[in-house]
Amino acid sequence: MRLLQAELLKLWTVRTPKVLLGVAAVIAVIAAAIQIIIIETRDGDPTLSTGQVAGLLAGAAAAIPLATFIGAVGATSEIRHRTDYLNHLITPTRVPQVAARIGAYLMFGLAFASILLSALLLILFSWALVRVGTVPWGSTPTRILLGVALATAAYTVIGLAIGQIFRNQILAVSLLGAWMFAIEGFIVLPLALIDLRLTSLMPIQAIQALLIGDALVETEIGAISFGVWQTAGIILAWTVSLSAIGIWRTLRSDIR
Amino acid sequence: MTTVAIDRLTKRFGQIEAVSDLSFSAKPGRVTAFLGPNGSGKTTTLRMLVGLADPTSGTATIDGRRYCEFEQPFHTVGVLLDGGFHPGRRARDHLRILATSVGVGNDRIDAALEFGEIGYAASRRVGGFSTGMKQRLGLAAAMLTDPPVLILDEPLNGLDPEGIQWLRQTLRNLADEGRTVLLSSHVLAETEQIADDVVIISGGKLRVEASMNELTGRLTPSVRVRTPQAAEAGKALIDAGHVVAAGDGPDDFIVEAAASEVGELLGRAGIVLHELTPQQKRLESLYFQLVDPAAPPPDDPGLAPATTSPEGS
Repeated sequence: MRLLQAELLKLWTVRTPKVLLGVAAVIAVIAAAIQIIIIETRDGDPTLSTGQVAGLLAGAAAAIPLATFIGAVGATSEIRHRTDYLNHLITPTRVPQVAARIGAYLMFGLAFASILLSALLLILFSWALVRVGTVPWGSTPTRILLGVALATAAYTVIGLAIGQIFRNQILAVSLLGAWMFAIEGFIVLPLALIDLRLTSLMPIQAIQALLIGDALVETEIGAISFGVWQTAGIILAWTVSLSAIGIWRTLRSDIR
Repeated sequence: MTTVAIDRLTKRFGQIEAVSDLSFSAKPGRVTAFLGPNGSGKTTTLRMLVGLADPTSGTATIDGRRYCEFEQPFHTVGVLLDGGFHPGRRARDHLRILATSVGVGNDRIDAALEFGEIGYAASRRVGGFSTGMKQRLGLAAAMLTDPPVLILDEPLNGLDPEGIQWLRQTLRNLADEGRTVLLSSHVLAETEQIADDVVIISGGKLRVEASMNELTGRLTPSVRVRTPQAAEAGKALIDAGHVVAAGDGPDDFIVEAAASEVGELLGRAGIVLHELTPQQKRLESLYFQLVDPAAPPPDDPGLAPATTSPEGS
Protein backbone atom coordinates (compact mmCIF):
# COMPACT_ATOMS: atom_id res chain seq x y z
CA MET A 1 0.00 0.00 0.00
CA ARG A 2 2.85 2.37 0.87
CA LEU A 3 4.50 1.67 -2.46
CA LEU A 4 1.22 2.25 -4.29
CA GLN A 5 0.78 5.61 -2.54
CA ALA A 6 4.35 6.57 -3.36
CA GLU A 7 3.87 5.71 -7.05
CA LEU A 8 0.71 7.81 -7.19
CA LEU A 9 2.58 10.67 -5.52
CA LYS A 10 5.31 10.38 -8.14
CA LEU A 11 2.76 10.86 -10.88
CA TRP A 12 1.01 13.75 -9.20
CA THR A 13 4.10 15.70 -8.13
CA VAL A 14 5.37 16.35 -11.66
CA ARG A 15 3.83 18.59 -14.28
CA THR A 16 3.39 16.31 -17.30
CA PRO A 17 0.28 14.41 -16.11
CA LYS A 18 -1.43 17.63 -15.03
CA VAL A 19 -0.61 19.37 -18.31
CA LEU A 20 -1.85 16.41 -20.37
CA LEU A 21 -5.00 16.21 -18.25
CA GLY A 22 -5.59 19.86 -19.04
CA VAL A 23 -5.01 19.24 -22.75
CA ALA A 24 -7.41 16.28 -22.71
CA ALA A 25 -10.02 18.36 -20.89
CA VAL A 26 -9.73 21.16 -23.44
CA ILE A 27 -10.10 18.71 -26.35
CA ALA A 28 -13.08 16.97 -24.74
CA VAL A 29 -14.85 20.23 -23.88
CA ILE A 30 -14.29 21.67 -27.37
CA ALA A 31 -15.63 18.44 -28.92
CA ALA A 32 -18.68 18.59 -26.66
CA ALA A 33 -19.25 22.27 -27.40
CA ILE A 34 -19.13 21.61 -31.15
CA GLN A 35 -21.71 18.85 -30.80
CA ILE A 36 -23.97 21.07 -28.73
CA ILE A 37 -23.68 23.87 -31.29
CA ILE A 38 -24.56 21.41 -34.08
CA ILE A 39 -27.60 20.18 -32.17
CA GLU A 40 -28.64 23.74 -31.37
CA THR A 41 -28.26 24.99 -34.95
CA ARG A 42 -29.77 21.91 -36.61
CA ASP A 43 -32.97 22.09 -34.58
CA GLY A 44 -34.43 25.38 -33.46
CA ASP A 45 -36.07 23.43 -30.68
CA PRO A 46 -33.30 20.95 -29.79
CA THR A 47 -34.01 17.34 -28.93
CA LEU A 48 -31.54 14.81 -27.59
CA SER A 49 -31.16 11.11 -28.44
CA THR A 50 -29.11 8.50 -26.58
CA GLY A 51 -26.82 8.40 -29.61
CA GLN A 52 -26.15 12.11 -29.27
CA VAL A 53 -25.53 11.73 -25.54
CA ALA A 54 -23.07 8.94 -26.31
CA GLY A 55 -21.40 11.04 -28.99
CA LEU A 56 -21.03 13.91 -26.56
CA LEU A 57 -19.43 11.69 -23.92
CA ALA A 58 -17.14 10.07 -26.50
CA GLY A 59 -15.06 13.26 -26.43
CA ALA A 60 -13.51 11.85 -23.27
CA ALA A 61 -11.72 9.33 -25.49
CA ALA A 62 -9.14 12.11 -25.95
CA ALA A 63 -7.87 10.85 -22.60
CA ILE A 64 -6.75 7.52 -24.08
CA PRO A 65 -3.76 8.54 -26.23
CA LEU A 66 -2.68 11.19 -23.70
CA ALA A 67 -2.84 8.71 -20.82
CA THR A 68 -0.70 6.35 -22.90
CA PHE A 69 1.90 9.09 -23.23
CA ILE A 70 1.74 9.72 -19.47
CA GLY A 71 2.53 6.04 -18.88
CA ALA A 72 5.47 6.08 -21.26
CA VAL A 73 6.85 9.37 -19.96
CA GLY A 74 6.45 8.23 -16.34
CA ALA A 75 8.36 5.00 -16.91
CA THR A 76 11.17 6.54 -18.94
CA SER A 77 11.54 9.57 -16.63
CA GLU A 78 12.58 7.21 -13.85
CA ILE A 79 15.35 5.90 -16.07
CA ARG A 80 16.28 9.24 -17.59
CA HIS A 81 16.63 11.01 -14.24
CA ARG A 82 17.96 7.91 -12.48
CA THR A 83 15.25 8.04 -9.84
CA ASP A 84 14.65 4.31 -10.36
CA TYR A 85 17.58 3.37 -8.14
CA LEU A 86 15.77 4.84 -5.15
CA ASN A 87 12.91 2.41 -5.73
CA HIS A 88 15.37 -0.45 -5.67
CA LEU A 89 17.09 0.81 -2.55
CA ILE A 90 13.77 1.01 -0.75
CA THR A 91 12.44 -2.30 -2.06
CA PRO A 92 15.23 -4.67 -3.09
CA THR A 93 12.53 -7.26 -3.83
CA ARG A 94 11.49 -5.89 -7.19
CA VAL A 95 8.14 -7.60 -7.81
CA PRO A 96 6.10 -5.65 -5.18
CA GLN A 97 7.61 -2.44 -6.52
CA VAL A 98 6.72 -3.23 -10.12
CA ALA A 99 3.25 -4.42 -9.12
CA ALA A 100 2.66 -1.22 -7.14
CA ARG A 101 3.62 0.85 -10.15
CA ILE A 102 1.23 -0.98 -12.45
CA GLY A 103 -1.53 -0.60 -9.86
CA ALA A 104 -0.80 3.11 -9.52
CA TYR A 105 -0.90 3.69 -13.28
CA LEU A 106 -4.18 1.74 -13.55
CA MET A 107 -5.70 3.91 -10.82
CA PHE A 108 -4.29 7.06 -12.36
CA GLY A 109 -5.76 6.15 -15.76
CA LEU A 110 -9.15 5.55 -14.17
CA ALA A 111 -8.99 8.86 -12.33
CA PHE A 112 -7.87 10.62 -15.52
CA ALA A 113 -10.87 9.29 -17.45
CA SER A 114 -13.23 9.92 -14.53
CA ILE A 115 -12.28 13.59 -14.34
CA LEU A 116 -12.91 14.09 -18.06
CA LEU A 117 -16.15 12.13 -18.03
CA SER A 118 -17.36 14.04 -14.96
CA ALA A 119 -16.64 17.33 -16.71
CA LEU A 120 -18.52 16.21 -19.80
CA LEU A 121 -21.44 14.89 -17.76
CA LEU A 122 -21.61 18.23 -15.96
CA ILE A 123 -21.71 20.11 -19.28
CA LEU A 124 -24.22 17.66 -20.76
CA PHE A 125 -26.63 17.77 -17.86
CA SER A 126 -26.31 21.54 -17.34
CA TRP A 127 -27.05 22.22 -21.00
CA ALA A 128 -29.68 19.49 -21.47
CA LEU A 129 -31.68 20.36 -18.37
CA VAL A 130 -31.90 23.99 -19.48
CA ARG A 131 -32.50 23.41 -23.21
CA VAL A 132 -34.06 19.96 -23.51
CA GLY A 133 -35.43 19.21 -20.08
CA THR A 134 -34.22 15.61 -19.73
CA VAL A 135 -31.19 13.54 -20.65
CA PRO A 136 -32.15 10.30 -22.40
CA TRP A 137 -29.98 7.48 -21.13
CA GLY A 138 -29.40 3.91 -22.29
CA SER A 139 -26.85 1.21 -22.86
CA THR A 140 -24.86 3.19 -25.41
CA PRO A 141 -23.89 6.13 -23.13
CA THR A 142 -23.19 3.64 -20.35
CA ARG A 143 -20.89 1.68 -22.68
CA ILE A 144 -19.08 4.90 -23.61
CA LEU A 145 -18.56 5.76 -19.93
CA LEU A 146 -17.26 2.33 -18.99
CA GLY A 147 -15.35 1.88 -22.26
CA VAL A 148 -13.46 5.17 -21.93
CA ALA A 149 -12.65 4.44 -18.27
CA LEU A 150 -11.42 0.90 -19.01
CA ALA A 151 -9.47 1.88 -22.12
CA THR A 152 -7.83 4.89 -20.45
CA ALA A 153 -6.72 2.79 -17.46
CA ALA A 154 -5.48 -0.02 -19.70
CA TYR A 155 -3.64 2.29 -22.08
CA THR A 156 -1.92 4.14 -19.23
CA VAL A 157 -0.47 0.78 -18.26
CA ILE A 158 0.35 -0.03 -21.88
CA GLY A 159 2.25 3.27 -22.09
CA LEU A 160 4.09 2.35 -18.90
CA ALA A 161 4.99 -1.02 -20.38
CA ILE A 162 6.23 0.55 -23.63
CA GLY A 163 8.40 2.92 -21.58
CA GLN A 164 9.80 0.03 -19.55
CA ILE A 165 10.50 -1.99 -22.68
CA PHE A 166 12.26 0.71 -24.69
CA ARG A 167 13.70 2.66 -21.71
CA ASN A 168 14.23 5.78 -23.80
CA GLN A 169 11.73 8.63 -23.56
CA ILE A 170 11.98 9.96 -27.10
CA LEU A 171 11.93 6.48 -28.62
CA ALA A 172 8.99 5.30 -26.52
CA VAL A 173 6.85 8.40 -27.09
CA SER A 174 7.67 8.55 -30.82
CA LEU A 175 6.88 4.89 -31.24
CA LEU A 176 3.55 5.22 -29.45
CA GLY A 177 2.58 8.24 -31.52
CA ALA A 178 3.61 6.54 -34.75
CA TRP A 179 1.71 3.38 -33.80
CA MET A 180 -1.49 5.18 -32.87
CA PHE A 181 -1.58 7.53 -35.81
CA ALA A 182 0.09 5.57 -38.62
CA ILE A 183 1.63 2.13 -38.12
CA GLU A 184 -1.49 0.27 -37.02
CA GLY A 185 -3.35 1.61 -40.02
CA PHE A 186 -0.74 0.10 -42.31
CA ILE A 187 -0.84 -3.24 -40.46
CA VAL A 188 -4.62 -3.48 -40.51
CA LEU A 189 -4.78 -3.48 -44.30
CA PRO A 190 -2.73 -6.66 -44.99
CA LEU A 191 -4.31 -8.33 -41.95
CA ALA A 192 -7.74 -7.71 -43.40
CA LEU A 193 -6.65 -9.34 -46.63
CA ILE A 194 -5.75 -12.50 -44.72
CA ASP A 195 -8.80 -12.55 -42.46
CA LEU A 196 -10.97 -9.58 -41.58
CA ARG A 197 -11.37 -10.80 -38.00
CA LEU A 198 -7.63 -10.51 -37.44
CA THR A 199 -7.86 -6.72 -37.55
CA SER A 200 -9.90 -6.84 -34.34
CA LEU A 201 -6.77 -7.97 -32.56
CA MET A 202 -5.10 -4.61 -33.14
CA PRO A 203 -5.11 -2.33 -30.06
CA ILE A 204 -6.46 0.87 -31.63
CA GLN A 205 -9.11 -1.00 -33.57
CA ALA A 206 -10.11 -2.63 -30.29
CA ILE A 207 -10.67 0.78 -28.66
CA GLN A 208 -12.93 1.86 -31.50
CA ALA A 209 -14.89 -1.35 -31.19
CA LEU A 210 -15.12 -1.06 -27.43
CA LEU A 211 -16.59 2.41 -27.65
CA ILE A 212 -18.85 1.68 -30.61
CA GLY A 213 -19.93 -1.67 -29.24
CA ASP A 214 -21.55 -4.24 -31.47
CA ALA A 215 -21.88 -1.80 -34.31
CA LEU A 216 -20.09 -2.45 -37.53
CA VAL A 217 -16.68 -0.90 -37.90
CA GLU A 218 -15.98 0.23 -41.41
CA THR A 219 -12.55 -0.55 -42.74
CA GLU A 220 -11.18 0.19 -46.17
CA ILE A 221 -11.53 -3.50 -46.97
CA GLY A 222 -14.99 -4.05 -45.59
CA ALA A 223 -17.01 -4.09 -42.40
CA ILE A 224 -16.64 -6.40 -39.43
CA SER A 225 -18.44 -6.84 -36.17
CA PHE A 226 -16.83 -6.63 -32.76
CA GLY A 227 -18.37 -7.70 -29.49
CA VAL A 228 -17.92 -5.51 -26.43
CA TRP A 229 -16.62 -8.31 -24.25
CA GLN A 230 -14.40 -9.58 -27.03
CA THR A 231 -12.76 -6.18 -27.50
CA ALA A 232 -12.44 -5.63 -23.75
CA GLY A 233 -10.66 -8.98 -23.62
CA ILE A 234 -8.37 -7.97 -26.47
CA ILE A 235 -7.42 -4.72 -24.70
CA LEU A 236 -6.82 -6.63 -21.49
CA ALA A 237 -4.67 -9.16 -23.35
CA TRP A 238 -2.55 -6.37 -24.85
CA THR A 239 -2.21 -4.78 -21.40
CA VAL A 240 -1.18 -8.01 -19.68
CA SER A 241 1.19 -9.11 -22.46
CA LEU A 242 3.01 -5.79 -22.75
CA SER A 243 3.16 -5.41 -18.97
CA ALA A 244 4.72 -8.86 -18.67
CA ILE A 245 7.39 -7.90 -21.20
CA GLY A 246 7.86 -4.55 -19.40
CA ILE A 247 8.31 -6.30 -16.05
CA TRP A 248 10.74 -8.79 -17.54
CA ARG A 249 12.72 -5.98 -19.17
CA THR A 250 12.76 -3.94 -15.94
CA LEU A 251 13.93 -6.81 -13.78
CA ARG A 252 16.54 -7.76 -16.35
CA SER A 253 17.90 -4.22 -16.64
CA ASP A 254 17.85 -3.31 -12.94
CA ILE A 255 20.73 -5.35 -11.66
CA ARG A 256 23.75 -6.26 -13.72
CA MET B 1 27.03 -1.32 15.98
CA THR B 2 26.84 -1.83 12.26
CA THR B 3 29.90 -2.74 10.26
CA VAL B 4 30.16 -2.64 6.50
CA ALA B 5 32.27 -5.52 5.20
CA ILE B 6 33.53 -6.10 1.70
CA ASP B 7 34.99 -9.57 1.39
CA ARG B 8 36.89 -10.76 -1.70
CA LEU B 9 34.49 -8.87 -3.92
CA THR B 10 34.94 -9.25 -7.66
CA LYS B 11 32.88 -7.81 -10.49
CA ARG B 12 33.44 -8.57 -14.17
CA PHE B 13 31.70 -6.87 -17.06
CA GLY B 14 32.51 -9.23 -19.91
CA GLN B 15 36.28 -9.34 -20.17
CA ILE B 16 36.74 -6.29 -17.95
CA GLU B 17 37.34 -6.84 -14.27
CA ALA B 18 35.99 -3.67 -12.67
CA VAL B 19 36.56 -4.85 -9.09
CA SER B 20 39.08 -7.51 -8.27
CA ASP B 21 39.18 -9.55 -5.05
CA LEU B 22 38.51 -6.45 -2.97
CA SER B 23 38.29 -6.66 0.81
CA PHE B 24 37.94 -3.91 3.38
CA SER B 25 35.61 -2.79 6.13
CA ALA B 26 34.04 0.37 7.50
CA LYS B 27 33.47 0.47 11.22
CA PRO B 28 30.94 2.15 13.49
CA GLY B 29 31.98 5.50 14.88
CA ARG B 30 34.43 6.06 12.03
CA VAL B 31 34.33 7.96 8.77
CA THR B 32 35.89 5.72 6.15
CA ALA B 33 37.02 7.36 2.92
CA PHE B 34 36.95 5.15 -0.15
CA LEU B 35 39.38 6.69 -2.60
CA GLY B 36 40.53 5.97 -6.11
CA PRO B 37 40.76 7.59 -9.52
CA ASN B 38 37.82 7.70 -11.92
CA GLY B 39 37.01 4.23 -13.21
CA SER B 40 38.82 2.52 -10.35
CA GLY B 41 35.71 0.62 -9.26
CA LYS B 42 34.49 2.77 -6.35
CA THR B 43 30.94 3.28 -7.57
CA THR B 44 30.66 -0.32 -8.77
CA THR B 45 31.70 -1.48 -5.30
CA LEU B 46 29.15 0.78 -3.62
CA ARG B 47 26.44 -0.35 -6.04
CA MET B 48 27.19 -3.97 -5.18
CA LEU B 49 27.06 -3.08 -1.51
CA VAL B 50 23.52 -1.69 -1.82
CA GLY B 51 22.23 -4.39 -4.13
CA LEU B 52 22.19 -2.39 -7.35
CA ALA B 53 24.72 -4.70 -8.97
CA ASP B 54 25.40 -8.39 -8.50
CA PRO B 55 28.96 -9.40 -7.58
CA THR B 56 30.65 -11.96 -9.80
CA SER B 57 32.07 -13.41 -6.60
CA GLY B 58 32.63 -12.39 -3.00
CA THR B 59 30.26 -10.66 -0.63
CA ALA B 60 29.35 -7.13 0.45
CA THR B 61 27.46 -7.07 3.71
CA ILE B 62 26.09 -4.63 6.25
CA ASP B 63 25.90 -5.97 9.75
CA GLY B 64 26.57 -9.42 8.33
CA ARG B 65 23.67 -9.33 5.87
CA ARG B 66 23.47 -8.55 2.19
CA TYR B 67 21.46 -5.42 1.44
CA CYS B 68 18.66 -7.38 -0.22
CA GLU B 69 18.26 -9.51 2.90
CA PHE B 70 17.02 -6.55 4.93
CA GLU B 71 13.26 -6.30 5.15
CA GLN B 72 13.44 -2.51 5.21
CA PRO B 73 17.01 -1.68 4.21
CA PHE B 74 16.39 2.07 4.07
CA HIS B 75 15.90 2.02 7.84
CA THR B 76 19.43 0.68 8.27
CA VAL B 77 21.33 2.22 5.39
CA GLY B 78 21.13 5.76 4.05
CA VAL B 79 22.48 5.97 0.53
CA LEU B 80 23.59 8.86 -1.65
CA LEU B 81 24.42 7.99 -5.23
CA ASP B 82 24.72 10.19 -8.29
CA GLY B 83 21.41 11.47 -9.66
CA GLY B 84 18.06 10.39 -8.32
CA PHE B 85 16.06 13.61 -8.70
CA HIS B 86 13.26 14.43 -11.09
CA PRO B 87 13.95 18.05 -12.10
CA GLY B 88 10.25 18.90 -12.20
CA ARG B 89 9.58 17.72 -8.67
CA ARG B 90 9.77 19.94 -5.60
CA ALA B 91 12.32 19.07 -2.93
CA ARG B 92 9.69 18.38 -0.29
CA ASP B 93 7.77 16.15 -2.70
CA HIS B 94 10.94 14.19 -3.42
CA LEU B 95 11.30 13.48 0.28
CA ARG B 96 7.55 12.90 0.68
CA ILE B 97 7.67 10.12 -1.90
CA LEU B 98 10.59 8.46 -0.14
CA ALA B 99 8.96 8.92 3.26
CA THR B 100 5.74 7.36 2.01
CA SER B 101 7.65 4.42 0.51
CA VAL B 102 9.52 3.66 3.71
CA GLY B 103 6.68 4.49 6.06
CA VAL B 104 7.99 7.47 8.00
CA GLY B 105 5.98 10.54 8.88
CA ASN B 106 6.12 14.17 7.84
CA ASP B 107 8.13 15.00 10.97
CA ARG B 108 11.05 13.09 9.45
CA ILE B 109 10.72 15.09 6.22
CA ASP B 110 11.09 18.31 8.19
CA ALA B 111 13.97 16.83 10.18
CA ALA B 112 15.73 15.74 6.99
CA LEU B 113 15.27 19.16 5.39
CA GLU B 114 16.68 20.72 8.52
CA PHE B 115 19.56 18.26 8.53
CA GLY B 116 20.47 19.17 4.96
CA GLU B 117 19.91 22.88 5.72
CA ILE B 118 17.77 22.94 2.60
CA GLY B 119 14.43 23.84 4.16
CA TYR B 120 14.45 27.27 2.52
CA ALA B 121 14.21 25.54 -0.90
CA ALA B 122 11.71 22.85 0.07
CA SER B 123 9.02 24.24 -2.23
CA ARG B 124 11.31 24.77 -5.19
CA ARG B 125 11.67 22.38 -8.10
CA VAL B 126 14.90 20.41 -8.06
CA GLY B 127 15.64 21.36 -11.68
CA GLY B 128 16.56 24.84 -10.42
CA PHE B 129 18.93 23.56 -7.76
CA SER B 130 22.69 23.98 -7.89
CA THR B 131 24.83 20.84 -7.65
CA GLY B 132 25.55 21.64 -4.03
CA MET B 133 21.85 21.99 -3.21
CA LYS B 134 21.18 18.64 -4.86
CA GLN B 135 23.92 17.09 -2.77
CA ARG B 136 22.32 18.51 0.36
CA LEU B 137 18.92 17.18 -0.69
CA GLY B 138 20.50 13.80 -1.42
CA LEU B 139 22.05 13.76 2.03
CA ALA B 140 18.72 14.79 3.54
CA ALA B 141 17.10 11.84 1.74
CA ALA B 142 19.83 9.52 3.01
CA MET B 143 19.10 10.67 6.57
CA LEU B 144 15.32 10.40 6.21
CA THR B 145 15.09 7.30 8.39
CA ASP B 146 17.94 8.30 10.69
CA PRO B 147 19.91 5.16 9.71
CA PRO B 148 22.99 3.80 11.53
CA VAL B 149 24.92 3.40 8.26
CA LEU B 150 25.58 6.01 5.60
CA ILE B 151 26.98 5.15 2.19
CA LEU B 152 27.79 8.26 0.22
CA ASP B 153 29.13 8.33 -3.32
CA GLU B 154 31.10 11.51 -3.95
CA PRO B 155 29.19 13.66 -1.41
CA LEU B 156 31.74 16.49 -1.73
CA ASN B 157 31.09 17.02 -5.42
CA GLY B 158 29.63 20.43 -6.16
CA LEU B 159 29.71 21.69 -2.58
CA ASP B 160 30.97 25.21 -2.02
CA PRO B 161 33.48 25.89 0.80
CA GLU B 162 30.66 26.44 3.31
CA GLY B 163 29.03 23.23 2.14
CA ILE B 164 32.25 21.29 2.52
CA GLN B 165 32.75 22.67 6.00
CA TRP B 166 29.15 21.77 6.85
CA LEU B 167 29.56 18.24 5.51
CA ARG B 168 32.84 17.78 7.35
CA GLN B 169 31.26 18.74 10.65
CA THR B 170 28.08 16.81 9.94
CA LEU B 171 29.85 13.57 9.08
CA ARG B 172 32.07 13.98 12.13
CA ASN B 173 28.98 14.36 14.32
CA LEU B 174 27.26 11.39 12.71
CA ALA B 175 30.32 9.19 13.27
CA ASP B 176 30.62 10.43 16.84
CA GLU B 177 27.04 9.27 17.37
CA GLY B 178 28.28 5.78 16.54
CA ARG B 179 27.19 5.61 12.91
CA THR B 180 29.21 3.95 10.19
CA VAL B 181 30.03 6.42 7.45
CA LEU B 182 31.52 5.19 4.17
CA LEU B 183 32.14 7.83 1.55
CA SER B 184 33.81 7.69 -1.81
CA SER B 185 35.63 10.70 -3.09
CA HIS B 186 38.42 11.99 -5.23
CA VAL B 187 38.66 15.34 -3.43
CA LEU B 188 41.74 14.38 -1.47
CA ALA B 189 42.46 17.54 0.48
CA GLU B 190 38.99 17.62 2.00
CA THR B 191 38.80 13.88 2.51
CA GLU B 192 41.99 14.08 4.51
CA GLN B 193 40.24 16.35 6.97
CA ILE B 194 37.05 14.29 7.19
CA ALA B 195 38.16 10.67 7.27
CA ASP B 196 39.34 8.51 10.15
CA ASP B 197 40.13 5.55 7.93
CA VAL B 198 41.18 5.39 4.31
CA VAL B 199 40.72 2.72 1.68
CA ILE B 200 42.47 3.38 -1.63
CA ILE B 201 41.78 1.32 -4.73
CA SER B 202 43.13 1.52 -8.23
CA GLY B 203 42.21 -0.62 -11.21
CA GLY B 204 39.64 -2.36 -9.03
CA LYS B 205 42.33 -3.60 -6.65
CA LEU B 206 42.97 -2.62 -3.06
CA ARG B 207 46.07 -0.47 -2.69
CA VAL B 208 45.85 0.43 0.96
CA GLU B 209 43.55 0.17 3.94
CA ALA B 210 44.67 2.10 6.99
CA SER B 211 43.72 4.77 9.45
CA MET B 212 44.41 8.32 8.36
CA ASN B 213 46.95 8.70 11.17
CA GLU B 214 48.86 5.66 10.06
CA LEU B 215 48.77 6.77 6.47
CA THR B 216 49.98 10.29 6.99
CA GLY B 217 52.50 9.10 9.58
CA ARG B 218 54.06 7.03 6.84
CA LEU B 219 54.89 10.11 4.80
CA THR B 220 58.40 11.51 5.04
CA PRO B 221 58.25 14.82 6.92
CA SER B 222 59.42 17.90 5.09
CA VAL B 223 60.30 21.43 6.14
CA ARG B 224 60.54 24.75 4.37
CA VAL B 225 63.79 26.61 5.07
CA ARG B 226 64.37 30.33 4.42
CA THR B 227 67.84 31.68 4.97
CA PRO B 228 70.10 34.36 3.50
CA GLN B 229 72.75 31.60 3.27
CA ALA B 230 70.69 29.27 1.09
CA ALA B 231 73.64 27.85 -0.85
CA GLU B 232 75.62 26.92 2.27
CA ALA B 233 72.56 25.57 4.03
CA GLY B 234 71.61 23.44 1.02
CA LYS B 235 75.10 22.03 0.79
CA ALA B 236 75.19 21.17 4.49
CA LEU B 237 71.87 19.34 4.24
CA ILE B 238 72.81 17.44 1.08
CA ASP B 239 76.13 16.48 2.66
CA ALA B 240 74.16 15.13 5.62
CA GLY B 241 72.19 12.90 3.20
CA HIS B 242 68.91 14.83 2.97
CA VAL B 243 66.87 15.43 -0.16
CA VAL B 244 66.57 19.13 -0.97
CA ALA B 245 64.15 20.68 -3.47
CA ALA B 246 63.89 24.26 -4.72
CA GLY B 247 61.46 26.61 -2.96
CA ASP B 248 59.49 29.60 -4.18
CA GLY B 249 62.41 32.06 -4.17
CA PRO B 250 66.23 32.21 -4.15
CA ASP B 251 66.36 32.28 -0.34
CA ASP B 252 64.22 29.25 0.37
CA PHE B 253 64.00 25.53 -0.31
CA ILE B 254 62.23 22.40 0.92
CA VAL B 255 64.10 19.62 2.66
CA GLU B 256 62.77 16.14 3.45
CA ALA B 257 63.51 15.92 7.16
CA ALA B 258 61.99 16.80 10.50
CA ALA B 259 62.17 20.50 11.48
CA SER B 260 64.11 19.75 14.67
CA GLU B 261 66.75 17.80 12.78
CA VAL B 262 67.17 20.55 10.16
CA GLY B 263 67.33 23.28 12.84
CA GLU B 264 70.02 21.48 14.84
CA LEU B 265 72.10 20.66 11.75
CA LEU B 266 72.02 24.22 10.39
CA GLY B 267 72.61 25.66 13.87
CA ARG B 268 75.77 23.59 14.22
CA ALA B 269 76.88 24.88 10.79
CA GLY B 270 76.40 28.48 12.00
CA ILE B 271 73.78 29.30 9.39
CA VAL B 272 71.28 32.09 10.07
CA LEU B 273 67.66 31.00 9.72
CA HIS B 274 64.77 33.33 8.89
CA GLU B 275 62.12 30.61 8.68
CA LEU B 276 61.77 26.92 9.45
CA THR B 277 58.23 25.67 8.72
CA PRO B 278 57.13 22.03 8.83
CA GLN B 279 55.17 21.26 5.68
CA GLN B 280 51.66 19.78 5.90
CA LYS B 281 51.73 16.05 5.32
CA ARG B 282 49.55 15.47 2.33
CA LEU B 283 47.45 12.42 1.65
CA GLU B 284 47.70 13.50 -1.96
CA SER B 285 51.38 12.64 -2.30
CA LEU B 286 50.89 9.10 -1.01
CA TYR B 287 47.72 8.70 -3.02
CA PHE B 288 49.50 9.36 -6.29
CA GLN B 289 52.20 6.84 -5.42
CA LEU B 290 49.58 4.22 -4.63
CA VAL B 291 47.30 4.69 -7.60
CA ASP B 292 50.13 4.83 -10.12
CA PRO B 293 49.00 2.27 -12.68
CA ALA B 294 52.61 1.21 -13.19
CA ALA B 295 52.97 0.36 -9.52
CA PRO B 296 52.20 -3.26 -8.63
CA PRO B 297 49.59 -3.77 -5.90
CA PRO B 298 51.25 -4.15 -2.52
CA ASP B 299 51.50 -7.64 -1.13
CA ASP B 300 50.03 -6.41 2.11
CA PRO B 301 47.74 -3.44 1.48
CA GLY B 302 47.17 -2.87 5.14
CA LEU B 303 49.83 -0.49 6.39
CA ALA B 304 48.42 -1.83 9.51
CA PRO B 305 45.03 -3.41 8.93
CA ALA B 306 42.46 -0.91 10.06
CA THR B 307 42.37 -2.00 13.64
CA THR B 308 42.76 1.57 14.70
CA SER B 309 42.06 3.30 17.92
CA PRO B 310 39.56 6.15 17.82
CA GLU B 311 42.29 8.69 18.32
CA GLY B 312 41.60 10.19 14.94
CA SER B 313 38.00 10.86 15.94
